[in-house]
Amino acid sequence: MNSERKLVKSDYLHEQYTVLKHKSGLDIYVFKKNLSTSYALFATKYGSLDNKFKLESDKELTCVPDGIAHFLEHKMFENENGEDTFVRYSRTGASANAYTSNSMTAYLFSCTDNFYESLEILLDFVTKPYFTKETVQKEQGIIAQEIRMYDDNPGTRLYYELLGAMYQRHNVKINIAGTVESIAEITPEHLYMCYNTFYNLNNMALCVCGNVDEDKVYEICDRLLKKSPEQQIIREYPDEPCEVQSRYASAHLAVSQPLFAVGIKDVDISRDPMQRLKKEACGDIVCRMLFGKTSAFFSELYEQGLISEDLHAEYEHNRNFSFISFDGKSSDPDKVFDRFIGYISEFKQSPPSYEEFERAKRVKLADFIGIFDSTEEIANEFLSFVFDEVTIFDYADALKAVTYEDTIEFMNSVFKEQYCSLAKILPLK
Amino acid sequence: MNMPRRKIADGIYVSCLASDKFKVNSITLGIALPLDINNVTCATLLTRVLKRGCEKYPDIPSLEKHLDDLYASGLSLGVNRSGESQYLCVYTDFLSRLYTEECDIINESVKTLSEVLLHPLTVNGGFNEAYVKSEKKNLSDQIDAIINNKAKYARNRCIEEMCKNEPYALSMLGDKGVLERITPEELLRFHNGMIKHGQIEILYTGDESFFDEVCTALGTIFSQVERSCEQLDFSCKVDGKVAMLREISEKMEINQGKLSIGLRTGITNSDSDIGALIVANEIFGGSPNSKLFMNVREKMSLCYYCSSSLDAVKGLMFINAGIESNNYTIARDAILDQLEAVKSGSFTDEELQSAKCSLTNSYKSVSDSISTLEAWYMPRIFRGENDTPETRVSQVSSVTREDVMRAAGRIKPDVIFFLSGNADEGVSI
Repeated sequence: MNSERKLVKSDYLHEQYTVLKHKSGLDIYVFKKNLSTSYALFATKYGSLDNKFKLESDKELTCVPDGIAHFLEHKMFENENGEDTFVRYSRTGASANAYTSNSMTAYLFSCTDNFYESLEILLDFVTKPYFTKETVQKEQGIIAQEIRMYDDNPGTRLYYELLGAMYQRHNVKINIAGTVESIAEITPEHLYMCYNTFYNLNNMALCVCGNVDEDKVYEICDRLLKKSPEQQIIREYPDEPCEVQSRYASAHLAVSQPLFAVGIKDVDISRDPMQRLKKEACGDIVCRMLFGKTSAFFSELYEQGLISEDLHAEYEHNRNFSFISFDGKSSDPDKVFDRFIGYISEFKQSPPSYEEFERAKRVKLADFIGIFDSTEEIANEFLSFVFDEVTIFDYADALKAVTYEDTIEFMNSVFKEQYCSLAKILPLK
Repeated sequence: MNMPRRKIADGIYVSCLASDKFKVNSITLGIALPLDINNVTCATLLTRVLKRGCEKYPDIPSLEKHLDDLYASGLSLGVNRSGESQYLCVYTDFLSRLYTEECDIINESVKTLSEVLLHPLTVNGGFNEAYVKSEKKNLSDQIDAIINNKAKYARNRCIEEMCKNEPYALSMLGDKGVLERITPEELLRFHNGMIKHGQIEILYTGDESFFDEVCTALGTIFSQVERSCEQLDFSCKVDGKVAMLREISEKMEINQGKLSIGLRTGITNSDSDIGALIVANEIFGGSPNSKLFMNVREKMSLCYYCSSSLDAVKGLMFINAGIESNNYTIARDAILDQLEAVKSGSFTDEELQSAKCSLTNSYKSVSDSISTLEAWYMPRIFRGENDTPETRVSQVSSVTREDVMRAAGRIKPDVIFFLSGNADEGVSI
C-alpha cells in the first residue's frame, strides 16, 4: 500500500505518531492515545490573513472581502442535497465544530463511538463545496449576529484595539469574522474562488488522535480523497514597517472598570522554521519570567492595587507576525503602562536571576506535558505546529534547549520602548 | 465506576477515581457550607485571602515559587454550588510520578494544600488586615464586573427574578453590602468554624496504587485538627409550578440584545422522568442538531447562538440567545413554538435517536478529563448520589417518544428576561 509511512517518537513525552504523505496530496497524522474520546481535525492553511492571492498560473491577483475565510467555514456545512452536516453527524453521535484563525480553517469532531463513520462525513463534506445565492444570504444574517456578539465582548474588542495600535497595514488587524458591511459583499463566486485555491489537499492536513487504527484511516482516505492537482499558491501581504501605528488606542463599552492590554511589536521573524520555534520557546519562558505571579512586576502592581487578577501574558510568534502582550483590568491603565516602561530599563539593567529562569522553564515544560492528556488539545496544537513547518515534539526539544543567556538576549532585543502600545476599553460616560 | 472511599477523620472522607491514563493528577478538597448570603460572601472572600499567603508562604511570590518548584503544580480555591448548597473547594493538580522523579510529589502537594488551608497568616485573632482589605476591594470589583459579560448578566438577572427569595438566586460572588461589613476577625471565625465543623470530601484522581499514600498523608494532617463534624442537608427545594409567565426587560448600551428564559421542570435527578427530560432538552436546544439551532438560527437567521440547558438539582431549564433588539417578539415566539413542538411530539424518530446518540457520546467522554470527572463526581459525593455517566447512558437509551412528550409537558416557562440594546423602535413587552 503506502510506503511513505513514518513513525515519530518522543522518549521524553512517552508519545508517538505516524505521518503519511497520502497519494491525494494530503498529509495525514495519526496520534495514538488510549482515551475514550477520539478526535479528528481536517484543516487548510488558509485564514483571515489571506485576502489577496493567486495561483502561479494566474495572471492577476484576486482580492476578496474581509471575513471570507470564516464565512466559507460556515458555508461548508451546507450540502447539495439540502441536508445539514450537523444532521449527518447526529447519526453517529459525534460532536462536531469548526473554527477559523488568521492562518488556518479547521473542521473537527470528537466521538466515543462510530469514529470511522464520522471520519467519512468529515472528509466528504469538506471536499464537496456547495454554495447558492440564497444560502449565502441566509448566512449573512447569522454571521452578522456573531459579529454583533463579539462587538459586546470586552476581551475581543480589547484585542483588536491592541492589534490596531500595533500594526499599520498588517492583515492581522482585520477582524477574523469581517464586518457586517464586508460580509454583505460576499457572493457564491467568491466562495468558490477561495475554496478552489485553498482547499487543495496539498494545502491541507488531517490529524486524528485517539484509540484508532491507522490502516482503517488510510483505507477511508484512499476511498474518499481524489488526487488534488499540484499547484503553487501565491499570497500577497502588505509590507509592515517596524514602527507601531499608535502608542495608544481606546474604545468605550458597558464595562465596570477599564481593561488594558500592552503590546510589544516584534518584526524580527526568521524564514527558518526551527529558528522561529527556538525564538518562540524562548519568548514563552521570558513572558513567564517577566509577568508571572513570581515576577517583581506582578507583585508590585498587585500590592499597589493596580491590578486584582493575574496578568495574562503571551508571546505570539509565527511566520506572519510576532508580538508580546499582557492584559488585565485596572482602575488606572496609564499608570500600569508607565510602570511597565520603567520596568523595561530595570530588567535590562538587572535581569531576573538564573533560578527564576530555571523555574519558568520548568513551568513551561510542565504546562506543555499537560496538553498530552487531551486528544483535542493534541490535535489542535499538532496542526498549528505543522502549518508553521515544525512538529509538536520539536517544541518540547526547543523549550529544553533554551539557555539563560538566550532569555537575556531576547529581553534586550525585543523590548524596546518605541515598539510598545497601550490599548484600553473604558467604561461608558 | 467502583469508587473506593475511606474515612480519615471525623466527617472527612477520601474518594479515589482510579485512572492511570493522565499525565496530570489531582486532589480536590471540598468543605460543605449552608447557602446563605453571609456564607457565600465570606467563603468567596476567604478563597481570595487564603491565596494571598499562609504562615509558611506569607505572600503570593513565595507560594507561587514553591508551586513552580513542584513542577508547576496548580493550586486554586473557589466556591461551587450544587442546588441550594455550596462547598468551598481547594484544588491542586500536579504532574504524575513519570515526570517528577526527584521529588515526592504526592506528599508535597498534600502538604502545600494543607499549609494554605489550615495555617493561614493571622494576627491577634484575625486574618492579616492588609490582605483582607485589598481582597475586599478586589472582590467588590469582581462583583461589579458581572456586567462585562452581557449573556451571563442576563442569565443571572433571569434567575434572580425567577427564584426571588430563594437561596438559589444568590450570586456566587456574594453581596457587596455583606462584604463591606466583614472584619478580619469575623473572617477568621468563619474559617475556623468551617474547618472544625464542615463536612469534608476529598477526591483524588490518579493512579490507584498511590491511593494509600494520599490517604496516609491527608490522615496525618487532619489528625492534628480538632473536629466535630456537623452534617449538612444537601436537599434542595423544588417547585415545578408557575402561577403566571412574566416578561421583564432592561436596557443597556449594547450592540446585541440578550434573551434569557427561565423555565421550571420540577424534574430532578431522583425523578423517574429525568432521562426523558434530558433527551427532551437535547432535541429542543442541546446541540447543533436541535430544534432551536435548526430553526431559530439556521432557518430564520435570527441569531448566532440559541440553546437550552438543565439544572437537574433544582428542576430548572434555561434558554439563552443573542438577537437584534427589535427581533424580540419574533425570536421569543419562535423559541416557545419549538418547545410546543417537542411537547406535542413533532419530532422524527431520527431526531430522537440522534439525541440519544449525542448524549451517549458526551457521557462517555466524561472519563477523559480530570476536570469533567471532578465536576461530575464532587457534587454527587456531597449529595450522596451514586449515578455515574454509565448509568445515565442506560437511562437515556431506554427513553421512548411518549416519555419525551410526557417530560416536555412538565416544562413551564416562568420568566422571560430581555437585556435590550439600542433598538431603533425600542422593545414593547
